[in-house]
Amino acid sequence: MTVAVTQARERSDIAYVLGVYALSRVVVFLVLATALAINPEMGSDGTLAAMCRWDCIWYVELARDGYHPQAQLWASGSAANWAFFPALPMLLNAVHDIFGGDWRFVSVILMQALFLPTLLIFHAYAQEIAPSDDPSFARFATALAAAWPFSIYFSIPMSEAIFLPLSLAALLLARRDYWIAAGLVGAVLSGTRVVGILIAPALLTLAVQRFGWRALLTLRPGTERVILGLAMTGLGLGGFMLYLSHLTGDALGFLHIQVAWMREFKWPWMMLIDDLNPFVEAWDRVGLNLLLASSGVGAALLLVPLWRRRVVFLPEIVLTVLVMAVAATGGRFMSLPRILGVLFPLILGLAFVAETPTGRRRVLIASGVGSVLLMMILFLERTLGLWAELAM
Amino acid sequence: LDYGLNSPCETPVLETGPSTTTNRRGVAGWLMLAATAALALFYLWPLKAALFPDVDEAYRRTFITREFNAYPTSPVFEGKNGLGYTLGTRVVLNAEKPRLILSRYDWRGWEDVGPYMAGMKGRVFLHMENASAILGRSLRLSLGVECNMPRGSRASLIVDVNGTKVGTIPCRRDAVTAHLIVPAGLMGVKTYDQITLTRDPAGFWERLVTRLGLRYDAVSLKHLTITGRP
Repeated sequence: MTVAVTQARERSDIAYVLGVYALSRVVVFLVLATALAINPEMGSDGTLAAMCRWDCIWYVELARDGYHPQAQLWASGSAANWAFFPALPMLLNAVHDIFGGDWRFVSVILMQALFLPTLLIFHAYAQEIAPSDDPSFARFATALAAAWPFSIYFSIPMSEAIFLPLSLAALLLARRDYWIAAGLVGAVLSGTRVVGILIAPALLTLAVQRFGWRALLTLRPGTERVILGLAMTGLGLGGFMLYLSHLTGDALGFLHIQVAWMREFKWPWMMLIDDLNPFVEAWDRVGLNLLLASSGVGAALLLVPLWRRRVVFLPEIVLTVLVMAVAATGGRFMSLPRILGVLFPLILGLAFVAETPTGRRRVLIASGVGSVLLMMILFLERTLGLWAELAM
Repeated sequence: LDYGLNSPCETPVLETGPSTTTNRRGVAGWLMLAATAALALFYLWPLKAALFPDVDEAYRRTFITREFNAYPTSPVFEGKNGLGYTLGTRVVLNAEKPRLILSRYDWRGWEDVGPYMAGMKGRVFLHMENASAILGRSLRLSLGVECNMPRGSRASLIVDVNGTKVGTIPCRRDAVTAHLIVPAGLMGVKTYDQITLTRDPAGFWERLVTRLGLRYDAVSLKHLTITGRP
């Protein structure tokens, strides 16, 4: 293929991703406008601020005011913002320093802007791992990422919105043999959320696939950049732990404060016994928990196409399984869709489900409908009450 | 890429970049290894902070995560971060308000009813004031518990202090005050002492039926007093 043809192809791909991005933003704001028409009350504090809900408020306040010196919030006095990692608040703070304005507005606009590079990285990733006999795979996978049922989490100012591009970038850079850059991105990722550090075992898996255990363990010449890259991934988490240790005396404060959200380590079967038990839970709560738990089953099913291609996708499988293991022992089903829905390997798994143009069109439409439904549930939180927890 | 889906006998192609090793390490390689070693040393710092936190569990659960919240009107448990205990004081754990005010009793299951053990284990943290005065003495630990077990069944509460068993309290559907002897040197050594009550039998079946909510038995700790042994 000549340089001119390659450049033309790249331009065409960028135009395609731009089109997908623009369409996805139009859909998001159309759904938001519809939700506002159904329930005008939700826009009383500003239409854009309607997109800044739940954990978004924590991140915005964290960016503005920093970490709490002690637990003080909620009626229990047991909540503090140590549960939220610093990468997103630091980014928000930096952007706000430059542009100023309302914090929530800035955070929402920033997330919309970030989604474009996210899609571009996703497209590059999909191209990297696309089957050689399937030139349209990358475009289909990118469109699917924008129409992914959980894509709303890529637009809300919460750590999920930066977890996706960073996890993609770290593995993409490593796949292209830029291990130190991958380590740097991994360092930021580990400062993004609890499961961010799980990029380290995924990168390690890739390194072992590429170089083998023996070369890595014996520090064979040529593997130094790999080992350094892997070692760098913990910097974000390590720094945050030191900061919390200095602030509260408890380096694991981000884990211990989870009790304020009723999260404590629990074996998965105990979660099932506790949360799906009609003897102790109301029926609507049991139904809700069942739906939440089903997202875990869905995630496991989407791993099947990747497992069939495990020669290539073992790092992605490792990342997904480890995040699922953390989610399955977190003590509650709440947030399960949010935790699992931002794992890009699952989007790739869905992309492999359909291979024909017709099949892909169907998958895309079904996924897009799911995406719009979940967005609507999110925006109509106050109207739906308990069931809004599906999106939380 | 060839995933090998249709040709399982072929060697899969993995290489997408120049992932090669060489025979000789250059200056850059040595520098990267030095940087890795420096990072490994750096990680010992947060690791140490995690393994040996400045605040211990009692402090953390009381003041950081607020699982044992300070009881603002309590005449006891003052001093030493709100967990100070003076020998001879009777502490009443009042179950009439939600968990926030019930203070210092770790009950599992998140029920906001009172300091009872819906789960199988509960704990009290306290700090002995004038610890040096009691170190050489054995103490008497009086625990008032109230049980509401299913008819025909009995709970035995195993009591341990700082991990050492000091006795058991049998109860059925009644209030019992048990007096247990705490050997000399067991309390007052650590900053915070931990008194743990564990239900026995606490086997699989009991745990399961309790967890499933099939029976609504409860064991409450109502009051405790520690005195010097006469």
